[in-house]
Amino acid sequence: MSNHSTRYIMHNNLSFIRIVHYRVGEGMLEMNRLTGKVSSIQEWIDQMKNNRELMANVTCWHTIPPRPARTAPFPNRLHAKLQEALQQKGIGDLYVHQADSFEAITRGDHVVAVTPTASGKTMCYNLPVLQGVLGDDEARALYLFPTKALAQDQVAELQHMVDFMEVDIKTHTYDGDTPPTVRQAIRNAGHIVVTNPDMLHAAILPHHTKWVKLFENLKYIVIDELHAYRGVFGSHVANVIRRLKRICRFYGSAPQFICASATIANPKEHAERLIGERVTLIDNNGAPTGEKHVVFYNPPVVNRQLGIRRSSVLETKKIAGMLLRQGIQTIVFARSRVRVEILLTYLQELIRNELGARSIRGYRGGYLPKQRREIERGLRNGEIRGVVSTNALELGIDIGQLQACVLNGYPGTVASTWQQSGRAGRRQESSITFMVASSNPLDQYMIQNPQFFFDRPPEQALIHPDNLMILLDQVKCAAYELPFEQDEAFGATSIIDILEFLTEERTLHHADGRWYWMEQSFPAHNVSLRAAAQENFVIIDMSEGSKVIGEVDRFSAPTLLHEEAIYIHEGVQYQVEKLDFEEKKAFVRQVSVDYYTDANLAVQLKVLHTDREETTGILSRCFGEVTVNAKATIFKKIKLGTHENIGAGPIHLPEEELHTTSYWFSFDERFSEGRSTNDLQFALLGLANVLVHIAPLYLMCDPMDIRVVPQVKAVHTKRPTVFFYDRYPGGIGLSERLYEVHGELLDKAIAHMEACTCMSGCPACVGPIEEVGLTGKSLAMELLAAAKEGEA
Amino acid sequence: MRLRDQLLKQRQRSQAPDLEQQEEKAVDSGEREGQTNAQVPEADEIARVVQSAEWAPLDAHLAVNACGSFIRRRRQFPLAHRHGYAKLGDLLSCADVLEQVAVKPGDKSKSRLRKGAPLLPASADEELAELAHSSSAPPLCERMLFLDTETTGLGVGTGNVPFMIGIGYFREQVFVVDQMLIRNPAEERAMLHELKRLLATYTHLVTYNGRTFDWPVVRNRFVMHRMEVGELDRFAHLDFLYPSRSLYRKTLPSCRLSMVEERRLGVYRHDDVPGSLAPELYVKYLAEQKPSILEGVFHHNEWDILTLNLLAAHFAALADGSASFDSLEASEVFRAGVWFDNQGMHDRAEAAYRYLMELQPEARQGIQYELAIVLKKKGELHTAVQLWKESLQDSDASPAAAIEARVQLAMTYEHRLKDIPLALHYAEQAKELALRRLSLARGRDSGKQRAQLNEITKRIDRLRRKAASQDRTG
Repeated sequence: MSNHSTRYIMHNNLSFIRIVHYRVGEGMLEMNRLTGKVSSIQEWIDQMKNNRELMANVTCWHTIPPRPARTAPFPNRLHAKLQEALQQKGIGDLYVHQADSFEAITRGDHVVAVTPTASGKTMCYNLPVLQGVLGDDEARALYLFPTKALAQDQVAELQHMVDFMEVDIKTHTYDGDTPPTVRQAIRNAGHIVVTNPDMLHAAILPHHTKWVKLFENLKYIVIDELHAYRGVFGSHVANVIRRLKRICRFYGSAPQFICASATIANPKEHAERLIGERVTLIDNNGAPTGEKHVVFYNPPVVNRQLGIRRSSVLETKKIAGMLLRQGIQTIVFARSRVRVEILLTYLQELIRNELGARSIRGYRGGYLPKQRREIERGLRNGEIRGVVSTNALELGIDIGQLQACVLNGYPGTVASTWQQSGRAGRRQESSITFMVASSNPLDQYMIQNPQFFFDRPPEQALIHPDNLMILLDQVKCAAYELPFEQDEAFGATSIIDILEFLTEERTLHHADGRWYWMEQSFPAHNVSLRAAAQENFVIIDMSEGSKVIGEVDRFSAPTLLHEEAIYIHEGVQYQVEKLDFEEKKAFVRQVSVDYYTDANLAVQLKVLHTDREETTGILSRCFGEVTVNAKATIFKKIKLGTHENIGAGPIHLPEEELHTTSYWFSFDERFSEGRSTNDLQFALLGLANVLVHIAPLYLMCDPMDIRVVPQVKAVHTKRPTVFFYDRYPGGIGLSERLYEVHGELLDKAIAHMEACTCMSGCPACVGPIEEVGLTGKSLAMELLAAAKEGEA
Repeated sequence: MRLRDQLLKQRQRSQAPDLEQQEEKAVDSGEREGQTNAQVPEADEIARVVQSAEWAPLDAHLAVNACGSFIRRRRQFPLAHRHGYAKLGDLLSCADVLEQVAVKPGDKSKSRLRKGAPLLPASADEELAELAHSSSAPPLCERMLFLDTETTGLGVGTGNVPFMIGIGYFREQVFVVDQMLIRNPAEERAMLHELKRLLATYTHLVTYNGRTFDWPVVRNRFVMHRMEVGELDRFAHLDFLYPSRSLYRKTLPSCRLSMVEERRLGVYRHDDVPGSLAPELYVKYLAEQKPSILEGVFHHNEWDILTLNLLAAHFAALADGSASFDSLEASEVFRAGVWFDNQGMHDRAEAAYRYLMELQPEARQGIQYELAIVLKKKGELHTAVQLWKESLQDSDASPAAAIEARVQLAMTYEHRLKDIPLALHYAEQAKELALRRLSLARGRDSGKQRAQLNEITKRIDRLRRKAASQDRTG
């Protein structure tokens, strides 16, 4: 990012000065004297730079220069109808990446297109697909999106193009919301079927005989948001795609894959692993962007003795308020649902007189689909001036381009940060993103060491489709769909041993050189592609009759919907009167109080039994089964505005239990002797943080798939212990693999810490100093050295 | 058997070459060649019979066709064979009426028709009836194929395999049960091939839950073998699960076939292997390869097919009036009336309701309402109006019934009898009752009630406009 100008401002001892010149007042327009409003976002940005109070808290102001469009004429082969339709929409040429992907697909390549938010990515696949269907009415395409909402969005856009062309191309979503009455018509006559991998896995593939028309004529498979398919989920999806390809072969089709992904470090490799084919990478983004400003903002210290900073929520409110008051269309991202609602409440209050509460909206999982559609529409047509969202709006839902973005806290990954920031930025004007740091150590590290963020490539997407547990489940599903032939490969690997194992289990029957499914069950129902159950609690407002206002996933229900909780929905407060845990219903009534509630979740890890154990020197490592119990214990009432704690109450709800497999290692007394609990704590925490980075690379999984928990005094051994466990009911083989590569893992950890250029800890190794203390890194090194010594 | 039917049958036989007789010959010759038969038959040829010592104890043999081999058991039952209260030949005299309740291809919604929904136009029914009796088609009972499968699993997914397909049909003076079994999944193609050949002369499938289960499962298998399925989609369905549910849902603990046959057809099974055990037994057979393991499954499947025959006769006799309603409980007669009404058999619906009103004069109010609906459909408007008015006299009627009857009166007066003032009179009464009911409900499940109230209000507005314009013109 050498062409960007960056200005670091001295804020405290830990950061340093690096001022790069920036332009002031260029293209500046006069403020409207009557309304006090700026006439452009550029003007606002320039004002900000002169706002001393604000700038005092800015630790970094990073400017990315504007980039002009790079275009190419319509390809000659582009169907006349498509050319006409594009021209009617006011599009006279293509961006180079759109033209390139059209060419590559016409050549017959599998393609992955990687371009940032709002670069006309969908055209990369819609154009060739529509071209294919225009040329052959029998041709079919299957689109896969990770969520239902994205699928519906896509159908709307496709329909728009089709209407312009005045042709009969049928496009439909096929998911859990599709009414049974139209399902048959879609199966037989839909040209473009838009669905999600879960539906493909559990409803379409196991019933492929109803989809003969589709599979016989399938020409294109479009997989958008490719980056979402990583870790265990991605590994399952890769196998679902293997099954899909198998079914296509059976019906005699060999579809072309067209993938699209947000920016990740390894798009080509990831796409090839996921679809099992060579792909052509298209990443020459030709879309224009305006100048982009990324501003790191650290809330001011309010208590010098304790080092307490002003709440990031209140600072986010201040900055978003300044933007919204000036009529700048703004998106605010917050990390939790509760924060979304609190911020929404504040902002609606703040600008009530100027804009009216309905022009600032919330957006998060749990809003009903209809409400979400309405908000998306409002954002596109500009009626809605501000939106506060969780990462639900990080994915490609079409909300048009906004002007400014405020992040309440660091989103956790480089890729997410750029994705969220990409929501702001229109082609012809500047945009600005504020990252408002919270007090958590990672945020504080990022805000004080901005170069760490700007120098870092986005994360990799990792999958391991041949994970034995996943493969076993998926081979069952595949065998249910079609018998396996003698020499048939599934993906790159031979699965003969799996087939033989399943035959011994009497799940399959071997006859005449084929393996047939021979069990009563429907395997896809017992295999969930995602870790979290899709069960929902519905929220019923009893204020007037009874009306469903929203939903909450099962794991959030105990902390958000316990009795007496204040549940905030679109800025309106409701109190939970009754939670019917069995029936998954929460009954709420509208209230008006000056506090919100925040529940504590107590998490406990218990070892059930140890299956494998080995001791070398001071270190013993084990593999076995554990349960992780999460129980909502108490809730606090927190006053709006000041965030004081004004009361509390108990929560009586059953605990959630995760029974899974775990790998752990502990150190005996020889290491703990003469070390303070604090030092042990920092050493273990530092070590755990390093391993969190390294383990996913070994396992080709997502950091979210595996948990690392350090305990200074583990319940069952009383020793300092580091636990790893699979975040999947029953475990999915990750911990077991770590147990096996234990030695290598520790070697890698040592090498990683030694190679890291930081002095005493950073988020790339043992964690920020704020978390592990000044000695965290050296303590963690000592711990590992001691462990290796015992081994030798 | 009715004389006319017998004559029709005779004529049919003399005209068309009898496929079944041809087959008989093939079987005979197969049996003779039995031991030496090594040549593979040509495609579309009838499967040859090869005796097998292993399967003989089950009365089954090996069948071989162009696609391979499978096991078959064919048993013939005389028409006088008793099964429960009835005989297997009883159906022959009353089967034709079933044409009216068959679900034709593409006619997906028929069984789900709700009360008052549009019915098949009478002319279509007549056409079908005519077709059934025309010289070109054999009588319905000869075109009915009874079918029941035993599968390896549940649901209609692609991994569920019907390892046994049992079919039944009338031939000459016998009822034949033909059961086909595969000894492993690789034999399926041969079995499906034989099934396809057998289907040719039939137009109606008689099943219990076959329309949404057995037949889609069989269809899946055809697709899995890339065999043509058009042949399968032309069948009309007589799936007796639906009428059984219509009649017995409230009076029997379940509507499983074994429950219905025992409680309503007098069929008691001895040593029956429940259908739910069939998959397990089949897996056991696959592992141990002993035919005796499947003996119970053969028996169970055969029994199901015989019961299907009886059940068809039971509903046919109710539908054509040859069976009296005495055989049903009172509430079942009422539900039969609703079923007849849904099937467009208004005369039978009327008969059921009138029978009930005579049987239980004290409960006549509820029946009056339904009877009037049927009469209205038949065009007997005045009798219908009379009945609704009578029902208004009943002080014990539920608020819902009181409102419905007035709404019906308002509708009939508005659209059919063209008496706007009277229509308005009843509509206003209905509105008053509906308002009172709504306020008493105090917001509890008021959605439907509110919708009904809106409907009534709209009707009143329209009637007022009509009345005003009549005043002007009159």
